[in-house]
Amino acid sequence: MLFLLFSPTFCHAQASFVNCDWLSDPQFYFTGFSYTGTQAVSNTLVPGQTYTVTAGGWGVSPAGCLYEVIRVYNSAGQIDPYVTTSPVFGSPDQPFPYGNYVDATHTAFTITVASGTPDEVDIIQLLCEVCNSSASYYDAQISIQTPLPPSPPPPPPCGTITINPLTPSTWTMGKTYHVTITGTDFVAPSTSENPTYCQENATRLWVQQGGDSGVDYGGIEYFPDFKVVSPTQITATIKMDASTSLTAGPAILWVGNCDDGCVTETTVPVQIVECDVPNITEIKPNTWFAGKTYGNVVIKGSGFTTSDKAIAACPVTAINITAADNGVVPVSTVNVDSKTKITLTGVAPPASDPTEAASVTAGTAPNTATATAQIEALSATVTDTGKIQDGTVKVKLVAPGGTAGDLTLNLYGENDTYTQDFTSLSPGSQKLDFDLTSVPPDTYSTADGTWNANLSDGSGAQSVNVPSVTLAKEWIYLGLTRFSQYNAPYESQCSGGSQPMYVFDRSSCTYASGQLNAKFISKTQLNGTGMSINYGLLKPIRITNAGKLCKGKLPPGASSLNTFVQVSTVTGSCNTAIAANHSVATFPNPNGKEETPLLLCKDSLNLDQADNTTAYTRVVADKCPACIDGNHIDSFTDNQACDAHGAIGDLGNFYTSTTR
Amino acid sequence: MTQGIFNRCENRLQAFSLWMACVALMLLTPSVLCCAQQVKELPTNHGITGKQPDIYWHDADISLDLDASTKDWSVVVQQGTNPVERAPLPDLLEQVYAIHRAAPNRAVLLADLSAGAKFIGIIGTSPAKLLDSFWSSAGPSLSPDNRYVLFVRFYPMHGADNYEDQYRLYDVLGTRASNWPERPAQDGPPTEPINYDSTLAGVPVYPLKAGELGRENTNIEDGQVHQRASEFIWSADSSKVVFADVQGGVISLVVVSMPTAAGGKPQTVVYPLAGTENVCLGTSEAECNIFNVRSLAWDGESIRAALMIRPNHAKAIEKDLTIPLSKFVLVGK
Repeated sequence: MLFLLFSPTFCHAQASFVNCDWLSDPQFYFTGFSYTGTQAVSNTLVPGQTYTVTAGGWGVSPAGCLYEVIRVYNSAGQIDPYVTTSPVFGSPDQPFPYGNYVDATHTAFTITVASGTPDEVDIIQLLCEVCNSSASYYDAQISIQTPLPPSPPPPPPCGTITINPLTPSTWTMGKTYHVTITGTDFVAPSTSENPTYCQENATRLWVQQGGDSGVDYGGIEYFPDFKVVSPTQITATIKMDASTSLTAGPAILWVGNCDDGCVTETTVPVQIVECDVPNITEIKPNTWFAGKTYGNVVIKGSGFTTSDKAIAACPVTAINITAADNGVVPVSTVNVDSKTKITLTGVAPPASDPTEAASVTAGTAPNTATATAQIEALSATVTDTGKIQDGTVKVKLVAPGGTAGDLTLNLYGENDTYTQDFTSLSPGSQKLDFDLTSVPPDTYSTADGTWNANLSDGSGAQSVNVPSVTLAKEWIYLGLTRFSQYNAPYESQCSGGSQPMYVFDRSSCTYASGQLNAKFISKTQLNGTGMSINYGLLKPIRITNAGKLCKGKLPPGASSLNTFVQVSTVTGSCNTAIAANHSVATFPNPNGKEETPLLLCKDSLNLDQADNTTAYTRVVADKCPACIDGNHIDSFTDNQACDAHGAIGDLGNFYTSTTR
Repeated sequence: MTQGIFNRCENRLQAFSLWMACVALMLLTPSVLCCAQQVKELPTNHGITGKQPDIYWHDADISLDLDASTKDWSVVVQQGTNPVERAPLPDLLEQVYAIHRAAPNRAVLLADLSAGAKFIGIIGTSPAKLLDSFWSSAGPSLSPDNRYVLFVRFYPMHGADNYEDQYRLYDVLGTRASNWPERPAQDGPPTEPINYDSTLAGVPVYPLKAGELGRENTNIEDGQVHQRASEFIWSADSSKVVFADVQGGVISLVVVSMPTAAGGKPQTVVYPLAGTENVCLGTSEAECNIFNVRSLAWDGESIRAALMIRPNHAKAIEKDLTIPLSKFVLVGK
């Protein structure tokens, strides 16, 4: 301003038409601006816009100014470079640096606010200067302000949530419900970075007891495990387990679209109930045979729900019986007699059931109780073959009382299979005797069979498999066998005269001439051994190795029949001492030297009567060549007889076997 | 007695007719023998009961009855109108099980000795006398006409090792000398030990050849032992007998033909079961024995053999063969 007032150039240029003498105290007045423009609002101007500024009128007293200028200052007091005014009046070659010359007759100007003009408050000034550098001016304040971006359209209004009646609406404590809730305006949580208002207010579920229900606030339970499938459907898992704070009684299910608060919400009443929890203390009977129908099975315990106490959510106590291998055990009727007693009829484990536990479950989940009963499959088992040498086995038959049926047992031999029926056998342990008169000779190693069990309840026959069992030992059954007897005759028992003989000492290859009873000689030749009076135990030389051992030292005329050898013991081909009433001789040679015999040295033989009782036992110790005639064994006896005529008869005929 | 009679009849119908006829005749004339032949003997698998059963042979000409009523057993001979005679028996016999008449004046008595040995007694009926006797370790088998006895040479029945079955043939109608070619004419002075081998009755037919009479039948070397592998099966006309013998894991069928002329020798032919016929093939030598032979039978001039292949611990398989005698080879050649 001072610069303008004292600039000589400025003054000189204006001196031509202003009489500065009377301009000592000009009186300038201006009646203000009015603005018109695209976005002019009062005196607020927007960058990038041009405005028409209209002055109400101005005047100078005394009339005339040296010049008139319109200029715009910014808030720093400087000419605002962003704002230009027009029209320009005056000499173009004498621009006024601080504004535009205007004519006092101008009352309309244009002001252009350049784009990008920062928001600020400017001053529009109309100045009237006289020669003495005095001036008068009029200031009007304008605001340059970039307009705010347009506000977004207001969001649509959120819907009003509704729900349809809930099923189930009664919830039992301990249960978990998977419910589907239908209604309107359910809102799924948004995954958007800029969720809408309504999306921010997603649907929630909770159950409240008390409060709005008119009851004291008993609890509030939020159920986080739900999913808004669609605006009209929610799936939710309602866990009424032990962790819930809810208790039996009325409650309200709230469904609301909420964030900090709820935009919309609604309720539906639900009923929470707590059923009795059953407990089983006894099942009677608790052992059931497969295939049998039990007319009266009593379950005792507590917490059973009778029909008069039952509600939909806590129904009459149900009974389910299952077995691992064969599924459901059918039950005809379940009568809940009282809170402590249930009676079942027609409990019928199938005949195909194996022996296994059956789970008896009372109640409905989650309020159930389980106890175990035992299903016993009918079974027939060979339990003991330790007496197979008598043709005897033990079997255990398991079936309900009153059952009876024929048991067929098979004995498997190397060449034959022997089958025998045992009629009308009842449950329990049975000692069974094979018919020794019918069992074919063979080597038996396994047995199995079938029990055709007829249950007394009329449910029909069950074919019960007897599992194959390996005999405790191989049963080598010889069948009916003749046991002849032989002895070592005692010379002292012999009658009759004597004969001259040689008696040879094998250890020294020396001999003695002597006399032996003639009958003793014959019997010793026959039997292979005899007890002499003077020389002890003798054997015919031909069955000893003395002939080779003492070759050349035998007396003249010595032959196989007139020479005996002293021995210390009676031995057989098994090279073991022969014991009276203990050892037997068999064919083929049991020492296996000549053949592979059925009977071997040291085999213990069981000599049975036809009634499967053991008459004698004997041990194989020698060969019996004469026994080649079949089914014949020679038994060594302590009978000292020397006479014949049946003095040593057969031991008898026995059903003979050994085990190995 | 009746059972014994029936045992000799050809079939049940014949037996029944015979029984009816006997009943009728006995009612009329009880003292008259109704049948041409009545025999009471014990079955093959008999035992020794300690009480001697009745044993006899009755035919139209002669009655031979065992008398065991005292400790001195004998055969009572009743021939025609001749006086009753007795042929005393040795007191070693445990049990007599058969008496067979072999000829008008000759009979054979078979008895059990102890320990399974057998006694064969040749009885002269006129006069009644035990003409000869010998022991056998197995058999003996009488020919259908009762003339020949095929038997296993005696060996003591217990206490030895590697017994060998040596088969010998005794001609019941022969003499003691003809049947004991290696025996001295006399038994020797009673004051000296008996020095002949009483086991050498009869003539050897297998496996011994004429020059092997001294071969022992006990303690034979392993693998060399002959053992009987079947019963003795006679041809119906008594001219031949067949049996099986096993040695060293090979079964041979042996046929012995009876002498065809007085003073003649029996002839033995053998047929080893070899190649595809060897039922012991694949089994050890020791497993080849009597159990591989189920039966032998005569089929004219052939032998039908039912053999058994016995795999170890497996079911036996039967193999049937028919072998003509023309395939047999003379022993010794």
